[in-house]
Amino acid sequence: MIKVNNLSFSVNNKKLFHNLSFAISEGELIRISGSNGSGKTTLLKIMLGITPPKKGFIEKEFSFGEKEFEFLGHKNGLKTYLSVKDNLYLMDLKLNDKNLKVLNDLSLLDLMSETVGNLSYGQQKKLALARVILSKARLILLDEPFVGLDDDSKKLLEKFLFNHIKTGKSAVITSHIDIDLPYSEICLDD
Amino acid sequence: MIRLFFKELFKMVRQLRSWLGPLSVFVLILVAFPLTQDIDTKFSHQTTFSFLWIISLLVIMLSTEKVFLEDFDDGSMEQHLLKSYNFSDYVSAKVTSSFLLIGIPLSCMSWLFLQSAVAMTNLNLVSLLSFLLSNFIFINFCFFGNAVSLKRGSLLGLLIITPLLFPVLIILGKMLSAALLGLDYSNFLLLLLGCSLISGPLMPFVISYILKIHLE
Repeated sequence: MIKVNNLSFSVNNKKLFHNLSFAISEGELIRISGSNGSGKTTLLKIMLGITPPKKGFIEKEFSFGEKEFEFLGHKNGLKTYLSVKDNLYLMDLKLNDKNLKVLNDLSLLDLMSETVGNLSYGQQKKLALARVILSKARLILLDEPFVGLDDDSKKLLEKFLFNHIKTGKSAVITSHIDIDLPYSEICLDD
Repeated sequence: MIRLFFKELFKMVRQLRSWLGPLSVFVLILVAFPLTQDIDTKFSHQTTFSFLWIISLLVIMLSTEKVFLEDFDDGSMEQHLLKSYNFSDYVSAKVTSSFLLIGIPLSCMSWLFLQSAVAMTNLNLVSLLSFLLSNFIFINFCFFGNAVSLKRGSLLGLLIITPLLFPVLIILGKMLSAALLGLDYSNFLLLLLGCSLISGPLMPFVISYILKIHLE
Protein backbone atom coordinates (compact mmCIF):
# COMPACT_ATOMS: atom_id res chain seq x y z
CA MET A 1 0.00 0.00 0.00
CA ILE A 2 2.82 2.36 0.95
CA LYS A 3 6.55 1.85 0.55
CA VAL A 4 9.01 4.06 2.42
CA ASN A 5 12.45 4.14 0.79
CA ASN A 6 15.67 5.28 2.49
CA LEU A 7 13.96 8.08 4.36
CA SER A 8 16.17 10.49 6.27
CA PHE A 9 15.25 13.49 8.36
CA SER A 10 17.19 15.78 10.63
CA VAL A 11 16.41 18.85 12.70
CA ASN A 12 19.21 21.33 13.44
CA ASN A 13 21.84 18.78 12.40
CA LYS A 14 20.33 16.19 14.74
CA LYS A 15 19.46 13.05 12.80
CA LEU A 16 15.98 11.82 13.70
CA PHE A 17 16.13 8.84 11.38
CA HIS A 18 18.49 7.79 8.63
CA ASN A 19 17.90 5.52 5.63
CA LEU A 20 14.63 4.25 7.05
CA SER A 21 12.84 1.80 4.78
CA PHE A 22 9.66 -0.18 5.35
CA ALA A 23 6.44 -1.11 3.62
CA ILE A 24 2.85 -1.13 4.75
CA SER A 25 0.82 -3.96 3.29
CA GLU A 26 -2.92 -4.36 3.22
CA GLY A 27 -4.34 -5.67 6.47
CA GLU A 28 -1.30 -4.62 8.46
CA LEU A 29 -1.00 -2.57 11.62
CA ILE A 30 2.27 -0.70 12.07
CA ARG A 31 3.25 0.72 15.41
CA ILE A 32 5.90 3.41 15.41
CA SER A 33 7.67 3.57 18.72
CA GLY A 34 10.50 5.64 20.13
CA SER A 35 11.38 8.03 22.88
CA ASN A 36 10.19 11.63 23.01
CA GLY A 37 11.64 13.66 20.14
CA SER A 38 12.68 10.57 18.20
CA GLY A 39 10.64 11.68 15.16
CA LYS A 40 7.45 9.61 15.36
CA THR A 41 5.13 12.50 14.52
CA THR A 42 7.56 13.77 11.88
CA LEU A 43 7.58 10.34 10.23
CA LEU A 44 3.77 10.37 10.10
CA LYS A 45 3.81 13.88 8.64
CA ILE A 46 6.31 12.81 5.99
CA MET A 47 4.14 9.82 5.12
CA LEU A 48 1.17 12.18 4.79
CA GLY A 49 3.12 14.55 2.58
CA ILE A 50 2.88 17.48 4.99
CA THR A 51 6.60 17.57 5.73
CA PRO A 52 9.10 16.93 2.92
CA PRO A 53 11.86 14.42 3.77
CA LYS A 54 15.52 15.48 3.64
CA LYS A 55 16.33 12.33 1.71
CA GLY A 56 14.44 9.33 0.38
CA PHE A 57 10.96 8.99 -1.06
CA ILE A 58 7.61 7.35 -0.50
CA GLU A 59 5.75 5.23 -3.03
CA LYS A 60 1.99 5.20 -2.62
CA GLU A 61 -0.53 2.99 -4.32
CA PHE A 62 -3.00 5.85 -4.21
CA SER A 63 -2.88 9.59 -3.89
CA PHE A 64 -3.90 10.82 -0.49
CA GLY A 65 -7.50 11.84 -0.79
CA GLU A 66 -10.54 12.22 1.41
CA LYS A 67 -11.79 8.67 1.13
CA GLU A 68 -8.44 6.88 1.02
CA PHE A 69 -7.03 7.75 4.40
CA GLU A 70 -7.80 9.41 7.69
CA PHE A 71 -5.37 11.07 10.07
CA LEU A 72 -5.61 12.17 13.67
CA GLY A 73 -2.65 13.97 15.15
CA HIS A 74 -1.90 15.43 18.57
CA LYS A 75 -4.39 18.19 17.86
CA ASN A 76 -7.98 17.04 17.65
CA GLY A 77 -9.18 19.45 14.98
CA LEU A 78 -12.25 20.33 17.05
CA LYS A 79 -13.89 23.72 17.48
CA THR A 80 -14.16 24.21 21.22
CA TYR A 81 -16.77 26.99 20.93
CA LEU A 82 -19.16 24.71 19.03
CA SER A 83 -21.33 21.85 20.28
CA VAL A 84 -20.58 18.18 19.65
CA LYS A 85 -23.36 18.13 17.05
CA ASP A 86 -21.94 21.19 15.25
CA ASN A 87 -18.48 19.59 15.20
CA LEU A 88 -19.96 16.43 13.68
CA TYR A 89 -21.50 18.64 10.95
CA LEU A 90 -18.06 20.13 10.25
CA MET A 91 -16.65 16.59 10.05
CA ASP A 92 -19.32 15.70 7.45
CA LEU A 93 -20.72 13.00 9.74
CA LYS A 94 -24.42 12.41 9.32
CA LEU A 95 -26.49 11.35 12.30
CA ASN A 96 -27.74 8.06 10.84
CA ASP A 97 -28.32 4.87 12.85
CA LYS A 98 -24.85 3.45 12.24
CA ASN A 99 -23.08 6.64 13.27
CA LEU A 100 -25.35 7.14 16.28
CA LYS A 101 -24.49 3.63 17.48
CA VAL A 102 -20.75 4.37 17.37
CA LEU A 103 -21.32 7.69 19.13
CA ASN A 104 -23.33 5.85 21.77
CA ASP A 105 -20.50 3.32 22.21
CA LEU A 106 -18.15 6.26 22.70
CA SER A 107 -20.56 7.72 25.32
CA LEU A 108 -20.99 10.86 23.22
CA LEU A 109 -24.68 10.58 22.43
CA ASP A 110 -25.79 12.31 25.63
CA LEU A 111 -23.33 15.13 25.00
CA MET A 112 -24.58 16.20 21.58
CA SER A 113 -25.67 19.68 22.71
CA GLU A 114 -22.67 20.19 24.98
CA THR A 115 -20.03 22.72 23.98
CA VAL A 116 -16.80 20.89 23.16
CA GLY A 117 -14.80 23.27 25.35
CA ASN A 118 -16.73 21.98 28.35
CA LEU A 119 -15.81 18.34 27.66
CA SER A 120 -12.89 16.57 29.30
CA TYR A 121 -9.73 15.85 27.31
CA GLY A 122 -10.73 12.19 26.97
CA GLN A 123 -14.21 13.07 25.70
CA GLN A 124 -12.74 15.47 23.17
CA LYS A 125 -10.31 12.77 22.04
CA LYS A 126 -13.22 10.33 21.61
CA LEU A 127 -15.11 12.86 19.49
CA ALA A 128 -12.05 13.34 17.29
CA LEU A 129 -11.65 9.56 17.04
CA ALA A 130 -15.30 9.24 15.96
CA ARG A 131 -14.29 10.86 12.65
CA VAL A 132 -11.64 8.19 12.13
CA ILE A 133 -13.82 5.29 13.27
CA LEU A 134 -16.74 6.32 11.07
CA SER A 135 -14.61 6.85 7.98
CA LYS A 136 -14.25 4.28 5.21
CA ALA A 137 -10.57 5.03 4.77
CA ARG A 138 -8.19 2.33 3.50
CA LEU A 139 -5.39 3.64 5.65
CA ILE A 140 -5.59 5.37 8.98
CA LEU A 141 -2.73 7.16 10.68
CA LEU A 142 -3.07 7.94 14.37
CA ASP A 143 -0.63 9.86 16.52
CA GLU A 144 -0.84 8.70 20.16
CA PRO A 145 -4.52 7.75 19.87
CA PHE A 146 -4.77 6.08 23.30
CA VAL A 147 -3.62 9.08 25.33
CA GLY A 148 -6.45 10.36 27.54
CA LEU A 149 -8.78 7.44 26.86
CA ASP A 150 -10.40 5.39 29.64
CA ASP A 151 -10.21 1.58 29.58
CA ASP A 152 -13.56 1.11 27.83
CA SER A 153 -12.71 3.61 25.09
CA LYS A 154 -9.23 2.07 24.69
CA LYS A 155 -10.82 -1.36 24.20
CA LEU A 156 -13.31 0.11 21.75
CA LEU A 157 -10.50 1.68 19.70
CA GLU A 158 -8.53 -1.57 19.81
CA LYS A 159 -11.61 -3.43 18.61
CA PHE A 160 -12.06 -0.92 15.80
CA LEU A 161 -8.40 -1.26 14.76
CA PHE A 162 -8.68 -5.06 14.86
CA ASN A 163 -11.78 -5.04 12.62
CA HIS A 164 -10.17 -2.45 10.38
CA ILE A 165 -7.10 -4.54 9.61
CA LYS A 166 -9.19 -7.74 9.42
CA THR A 167 -11.02 -6.27 6.42
CA GLY A 168 -7.73 -5.81 4.58
CA LYS A 169 -7.26 -2.15 5.46
CA SER A 170 -4.16 -0.78 7.13
CA ALA A 171 -3.26 1.44 10.06
CA VAL A 172 -0.19 3.22 11.35
CA ILE A 173 -0.11 4.36 14.95
CA THR A 174 2.41 5.90 17.27
CA SER A 175 1.89 4.93 20.88
CA HIS A 176 3.65 4.78 24.19
CA ILE A 177 0.84 2.70 25.61
CA ASP A 178 0.89 -1.08 25.14
CA ILE A 179 -1.82 -2.36 22.85
CA ASP A 180 -3.45 -5.75 22.72
CA LEU A 181 -3.23 -6.17 18.94
CA PRO A 182 -0.93 -7.94 16.46
CA TYR A 183 1.37 -5.33 14.92
CA SER A 184 4.70 -4.78 13.21
CA GLU A 185 6.94 -2.38 15.06
CA ILE A 186 9.20 0.36 13.77
CA CYS A 187 11.43 1.65 16.53
CA LEU A 188 13.02 5.03 15.90
CA ASP A 189 15.45 4.81 18.83
CA ASP A 190 19.02 3.93 17.88
CA MET B 1 -16.16 24.43 -2.51
CA ILE B 2 -19.73 25.57 -1.77
CA ARG B 3 -19.96 23.16 1.18
CA LEU B 4 -16.65 24.47 2.45
CA PHE B 5 -17.91 28.05 2.15
CA PHE B 6 -21.05 27.24 4.14
CA LYS B 7 -18.97 25.54 6.82
CA GLU B 8 -16.73 28.61 7.15
CA LEU B 9 -19.79 30.82 7.22
CA PHE B 10 -21.33 28.58 9.89
CA LYS B 11 -18.18 28.86 12.03
CA MET B 12 -18.08 32.63 11.63
CA VAL B 13 -21.75 33.06 12.46
CA ARG B 14 -21.22 31.02 15.64
CA GLN B 15 -18.21 33.18 16.52
CA LEU B 16 -20.01 36.49 16.65
CA ARG B 17 -17.36 38.14 18.80
CA SER B 18 -14.68 37.86 16.11
CA TRP B 19 -16.50 39.98 13.51
CA LEU B 20 -19.44 41.65 15.20
CA GLY B 21 -17.11 43.27 17.75
CA PRO B 22 -14.99 45.07 15.10
CA LEU B 23 -18.15 46.05 13.18
CA SER B 24 -19.52 47.59 16.40
CA VAL B 25 -16.25 49.49 16.80
CA PHE B 26 -16.74 50.79 13.25
CA VAL B 27 -20.26 52.00 14.08
CA LEU B 28 -19.04 53.66 17.28
CA ILE B 29 -16.30 55.50 15.37
CA LEU B 30 -18.84 56.66 12.77
CA VAL B 31 -21.02 57.99 15.57
CA ALA B 32 -18.12 59.53 17.48
CA PHE B 33 -16.38 61.19 14.53
CA PRO B 34 -19.01 63.91 13.87
CA LEU B 35 -19.19 64.65 17.61
CA THR B 36 -15.63 65.95 17.48
CA GLN B 37 -16.55 68.50 14.82
CA ASP B 38 -18.38 71.81 15.11
CA ILE B 39 -22.06 71.57 14.33
CA ASP B 40 -21.75 73.85 11.30
CA THR B 41 -18.64 72.10 9.93
CA LYS B 42 -19.11 70.68 6.49
CA PHE B 43 -17.14 67.54 5.83
CA SER B 44 -15.08 67.59 2.70
CA HIS B 45 -15.56 64.68 0.32
CA GLN B 46 -11.88 63.83 0.35
CA THR B 47 -11.61 63.77 4.16
CA THR B 48 -14.74 61.69 4.59
CA PHE B 49 -13.70 59.13 2.00
CA SER B 50 -10.16 58.88 3.39
CA PHE B 51 -11.54 58.53 6.91
CA LEU B 52 -13.89 55.72 5.84
CA TRP B 53 -11.23 53.84 3.87
CA ILE B 54 -8.70 53.96 6.68
CA ILE B 55 -11.24 52.99 9.36
CA SER B 56 -12.49 50.14 7.16
CA LEU B 57 -8.93 48.92 6.73
CA LEU B 58 -8.31 49.00 10.48
CA VAL B 59 -11.59 47.21 11.24
CA ILE B 60 -10.78 44.51 8.67
CA MET B 61 -7.33 44.12 10.22
CA LEU B 62 -8.94 43.76 13.63
CA SER B 63 -11.59 41.26 12.54
CA THR B 64 -9.26 39.03 10.55
CA GLU B 65 -6.48 39.08 13.13
CA LYS B 66 -6.84 35.42 14.18
CA VAL B 67 -8.43 34.09 11.05
CA PHE B 68 -5.88 31.30 10.55
CA LEU B 69 -4.45 31.02 14.04
CA GLU B 70 -7.47 29.23 15.49
CA ASP B 71 -7.49 26.56 12.76
CA PHE B 72 -3.72 26.20 13.05
CA ASP B 73 -3.82 25.76 16.83
CA ASP B 74 -6.69 23.26 16.97
CA GLY B 75 -5.34 21.12 14.10
CA SER B 76 -8.22 21.66 11.68
CA MET B 77 -5.94 23.43 9.20
CA GLU B 78 -3.86 20.23 9.01
CA GLN B 79 -7.05 18.30 8.28
CA HIS B 80 -7.99 20.70 5.48
CA LEU B 81 -4.55 20.27 3.91
CA LEU B 82 -5.03 16.50 3.80
CA LYS B 83 -8.49 16.53 2.23
CA SER B 84 -9.08 15.81 -1.45
CA TYR B 85 -10.12 19.35 -2.30
CA ASN B 86 -7.55 21.99 -3.11
CA PHE B 87 -6.10 23.68 -0.05
CA SER B 88 -6.58 27.08 -1.70
CA ASP B 89 -10.35 26.38 -1.74
CA TYR B 90 -10.23 26.44 2.05
CA VAL B 91 -8.60 29.90 1.93
CA SER B 92 -11.08 31.09 -0.71
CA ALA B 93 -13.99 29.92 1.45
CA LYS B 94 -12.59 31.90 4.38
CA VAL B 95 -12.05 35.04 2.26
CA THR B 96 -15.55 34.82 0.79
CA SER B 97 -17.27 34.33 4.14
CA SER B 98 -15.28 37.21 5.64
CA PHE B 99 -16.23 39.46 2.73
CA LEU B 100 -19.87 38.50 3.17
CA LEU B 101 -19.97 39.09 6.93
CA ILE B 102 -17.46 41.92 7.26
CA GLY B 103 -16.67 43.48 3.86
CA ILE B 104 -20.23 43.98 2.60
CA PRO B 105 -21.66 45.36 5.89
CA LEU B 106 -18.68 47.72 6.17
CA SER B 107 -19.22 48.94 2.61
CA CYS B 108 -22.93 49.49 3.19
CA MET B 109 -22.37 51.32 6.48
CA SER B 110 -19.64 53.49 4.91
CA TRP B 111 -21.97 54.33 2.06
CA LEU B 112 -24.81 55.22 4.43
CA PHE B 113 -22.49 57.42 6.48
CA LEU B 114 -21.36 59.12 3.31
CA GLN B 115 -24.95 59.86 2.36
CA SER B 116 -25.60 61.48 5.70
CA ALA B 117 -22.29 63.37 5.92
CA VAL B 118 -21.91 64.69 2.40
CA ALA B 119 -24.37 64.97 -0.43
CA MET B 120 -23.02 63.04 -3.42
CA THR B 121 -25.93 62.18 -5.62
CA ASN B 122 -23.71 62.00 -8.70
CA LEU B 123 -21.30 59.54 -7.06
CA ASN B 124 -23.72 57.19 -5.31
CA LEU B 125 -22.98 54.07 -7.30
CA VAL B 126 -19.28 54.65 -7.72
CA SER B 127 -18.78 55.30 -3.99
CA LEU B 128 -20.52 52.04 -3.06
CA LEU B 129 -18.55 50.18 -5.71
CA SER B 130 -15.27 51.67 -4.50
CA PHE B 131 -16.05 50.61 -0.91
CA LEU B 132 -16.91 47.07 -2.00
CA LEU B 133 -13.82 46.70 -4.16
CA SER B 134 -11.44 48.28 -1.66
CA ASN B 135 -12.78 46.17 1.21
CA PHE B 136 -12.41 43.03 -0.89
CA ILE B 137 -8.78 43.92 -1.61
CA PHE B 138 -8.17 44.84 2.05
CA ILE B 139 -9.56 41.47 3.20
CA ASN B 140 -7.34 39.57 0.76
CA PHE B 141 -4.24 41.47 1.86
CA CYS B 142 -5.08 41.14 5.56
CA PHE B 143 -5.42 37.40 5.08
CA PHE B 144 -2.05 37.42 3.37
CA GLY B 145 -0.47 39.34 6.27
CA ASN B 146 -2.03 37.02 8.82
CA ALA B 147 -0.78 33.97 6.94
CA VAL B 148 2.77 35.33 6.83
CA SER B 149 2.81 36.24 10.52
CA LEU B 150 0.79 33.21 11.67
CA LYS B 151 3.14 32.21 14.47
CA ARG B 152 4.69 35.62 15.11
CA GLY B 153 1.76 37.83 16.07
CA SER B 154 -0.45 40.07 14.01
CA LEU B 155 1.78 43.16 14.30
CA LEU B 156 4.27 41.71 11.83
CA GLY B 157 1.45 41.01 9.38
CA LEU B 158 0.26 44.58 9.79
CA LEU B 159 3.71 45.93 9.03
CA ILE B 160 3.96 43.75 5.94
CA ILE B 161 0.61 44.53 4.36
CA THR B 162 0.30 48.24 5.09
CA PRO B 163 2.98 49.30 2.53
CA LEU B 164 1.47 46.84 0.03
CA LEU B 165 -1.87 48.62 0.34
CA PHE B 166 -0.46 52.09 -0.31
CA PRO B 167 -0.96 51.79 -4.11
CA VAL B 168 -4.59 50.79 -3.56
CA LEU B 169 -5.14 53.81 -1.30
CA ILE B 170 -3.47 56.06 -3.89
CA ILE B 171 -5.73 54.70 -6.65
CA LEU B 172 -8.77 55.30 -4.44
CA GLY B 173 -7.67 58.87 -3.74
CA LYS B 174 -6.96 59.60 -7.40
CA MET B 175 -10.30 58.15 -8.43
CA LEU B 176 -12.13 60.39 -6.00
CA SER B 177 -10.16 63.48 -7.05
CA ALA B 178 -10.99 62.79 -10.70
CA ALA B 179 -14.66 62.27 -9.87
CA LEU B 180 -14.85 65.50 -7.84
CA LEU B 181 -13.21 67.48 -10.65
CA GLY B 182 -15.70 66.08 -13.11
CA LEU B 183 -13.02 64.15 -14.97
CA ASP B 184 -13.26 60.60 -16.21
CA TYR B 185 -12.63 58.31 -13.24
CA SER B 186 -13.52 55.07 -14.96
CA ASN B 187 -9.85 54.21 -15.55
CA PHE B 188 -9.14 54.30 -11.83
CA LEU B 189 -12.25 52.25 -11.13
CA LEU B 190 -11.14 49.70 -13.71
CA LEU B 191 -7.70 49.65 -12.11
CA LEU B 192 -9.34 48.93 -8.76
CA LEU B 193 -11.49 46.26 -10.37
CA GLY B 194 -8.35 44.79 -11.92
CA CYS B 195 -6.66 44.67 -8.50
CA SER B 196 -9.71 42.83 -7.10
CA LEU B 197 -9.81 40.41 -10.01
CA ILE B 198 -6.12 39.64 -9.62
CA SER B 199 -6.05 39.41 -5.82
CA GLY B 200 -9.31 37.44 -5.64
CA PRO B 201 -8.16 34.28 -7.43
CA LEU B 202 -4.40 34.72 -6.89
CA MET B 203 -4.22 35.45 -3.16
CA PRO B 204 -5.74 32.12 -2.01
CA PHE B 205 -2.97 30.27 -3.87
CA VAL B 206 -0.24 32.45 -2.36
CA ILE B 207 -1.78 32.24 1.12
CA SER B 208 -2.27 28.47 0.90
CA TYR B 209 1.38 28.07 -0.08
CA ILE B 210 2.48 30.15 2.94
CA LEU B 211 0.21 28.15 5.26
CA LYS B 212 1.66 24.89 3.93
CA ILE B 213 5.11 26.11 4.89
CA HIS B 214 3.85 26.84 8.42
CA LEU B 215 2.39 23.34 8.67
CA GLU B 216 5.66 21.69 7.68
